[in-house]
Amino acid sequence: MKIYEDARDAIFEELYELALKDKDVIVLSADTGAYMLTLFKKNIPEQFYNVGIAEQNMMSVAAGLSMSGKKVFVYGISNFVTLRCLEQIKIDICCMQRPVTIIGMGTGYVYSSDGPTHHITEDVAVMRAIPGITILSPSDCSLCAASIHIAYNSQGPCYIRFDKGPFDQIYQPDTDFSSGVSEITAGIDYAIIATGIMVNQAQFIAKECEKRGIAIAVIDLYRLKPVNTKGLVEMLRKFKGVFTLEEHTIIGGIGSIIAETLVTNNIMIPVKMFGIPDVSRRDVGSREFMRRLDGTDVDTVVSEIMSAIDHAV
Amino acid sequence: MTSEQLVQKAKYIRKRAFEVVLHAGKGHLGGSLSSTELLVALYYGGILNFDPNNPMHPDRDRFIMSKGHSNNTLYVILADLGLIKESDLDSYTQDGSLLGGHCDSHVSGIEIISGSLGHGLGVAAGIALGAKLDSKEYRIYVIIGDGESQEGSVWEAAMFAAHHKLSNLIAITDRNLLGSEEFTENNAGLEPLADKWKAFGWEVTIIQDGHSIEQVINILRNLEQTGKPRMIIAQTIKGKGISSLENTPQAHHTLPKGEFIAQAIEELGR
Repeated sequence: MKIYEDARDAIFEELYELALKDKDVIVLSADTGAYMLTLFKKNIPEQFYNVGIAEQNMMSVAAGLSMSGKKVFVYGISNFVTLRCLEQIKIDICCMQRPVTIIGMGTGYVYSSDGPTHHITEDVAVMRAIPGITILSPSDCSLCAASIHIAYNSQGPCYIRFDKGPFDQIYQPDTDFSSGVSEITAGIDYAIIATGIMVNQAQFIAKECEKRGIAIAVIDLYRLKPVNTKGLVEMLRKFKGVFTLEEHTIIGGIGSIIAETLVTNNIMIPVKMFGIPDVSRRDVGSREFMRRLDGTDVDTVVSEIMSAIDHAV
Repeated sequence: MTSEQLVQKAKYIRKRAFEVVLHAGKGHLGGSLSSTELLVALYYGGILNFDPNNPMHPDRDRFIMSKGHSNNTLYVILADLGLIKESDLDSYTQDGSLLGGHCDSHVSGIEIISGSLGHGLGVAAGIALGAKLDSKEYRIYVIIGDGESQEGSVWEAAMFAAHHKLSNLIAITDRNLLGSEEFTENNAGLEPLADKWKAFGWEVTIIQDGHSIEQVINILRNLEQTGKPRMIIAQTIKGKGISSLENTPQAHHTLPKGEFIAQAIEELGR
């Protein structure tokens, strides 16, 4: 697999290559574009359908196509291909275990200044409540590309939530991603666990902590469902405390996943969660501006981590 | 089957469905009874290319009951065809039963889970598109409710199917005039329903009496290929066959009580 610099290219180039080899790969878009999709339209139009701005129907049609033997990938802005059509996902796709992959463009405040309609801040909480779906949350372009193959090879429903980045490269393209979780930076006593676009942010935070004399581990939880509980427990057992960082509501996201995993496995260490508080953000501004409001910006997180560790010692 | 045999079959299906619901103490008789002749025509009238001995044959016609609550008569038909057991009917909705109150694809002969309204037509459109892509000849039949047609997703599917000229998709609206609590024309009126479907690019046919097996079969057997998806609006009566329920909002999931039970048994036995 090649090295990509753009997440969308990684997703759609890999998908295009698969579609060229397998005519049963069908891509549906709810009138959401990506450069690579023009190649589908031009070269394999019978495998690409822009169904219009109708996400509920897109999910039902995807389920139907899969019942005709197709491997279907649907694409749209994450909010609209999850929340808008949740019941179709639950019943038509997940309950009947159809091989349909939902590719959600955008996470968190990717469209920060576009208001709450475009803030993708509940998708993990909502989607992980649905039985039988695999949720992938890639943190770099290699993982974006690999996610398409993981989804293609799976027999059931998948949701790939990806951010346009930019991403620093974390993984080599031929990495084995079957674990679902990876300790990408070693540390002592404490770890910060993040997913998707926030993994780069966590790496940056760890570097700032290191400058202050604290070596904090960074863990990338890139498969949110099913969680590799065994692997995660082994990883977390060695820490005195963990921090979670997400651009997602604090309710039901990776902070919750970590807390649930720790408690149900009798690992009694403190968890401090950095995420979006339980408010509807009506504020307008850049992604960094929104993060400062939520306290997920680097300065705030570093300061609170240092303070928490100081108090613990 | 002759017309008379089909009429007798419809009678049996109604009677047995009422027994099942009465035994369970719950069900959705209203919409099940209103769609009885539609189902009898499809399954026994030579319309559906469907072999009960090979219910998953890849070239079978697909049938989807999108208004999944209307499964009382459908499940009786599946038992009659040998796809499920009579004892399954006897345990309808009881602990551990195969059969619940809405359609589920774990039941042999049922293609999809349905019960949340507004899903079936879109799924059917997806199957229809897949069939076209693979140059398959089979057809996809789907029954939707008129109350269900108040769901926006029905019209999303309507646009999609017409745009892609899914002429292998045949939808039937069970136009029994009632939703769950109210006549459709008293809350979010559907009329002019046929004109709406025409405007959405569908070929529309009306069955004046959806309880006349002859009319239903005559129309389903003689559908011209027009290159468009087909909507057949069957004018029916909710609760048909049980006078205490007929054309009443309570027909949706209320059972006759007291003296009306004996009356219903008598009416269905005529």
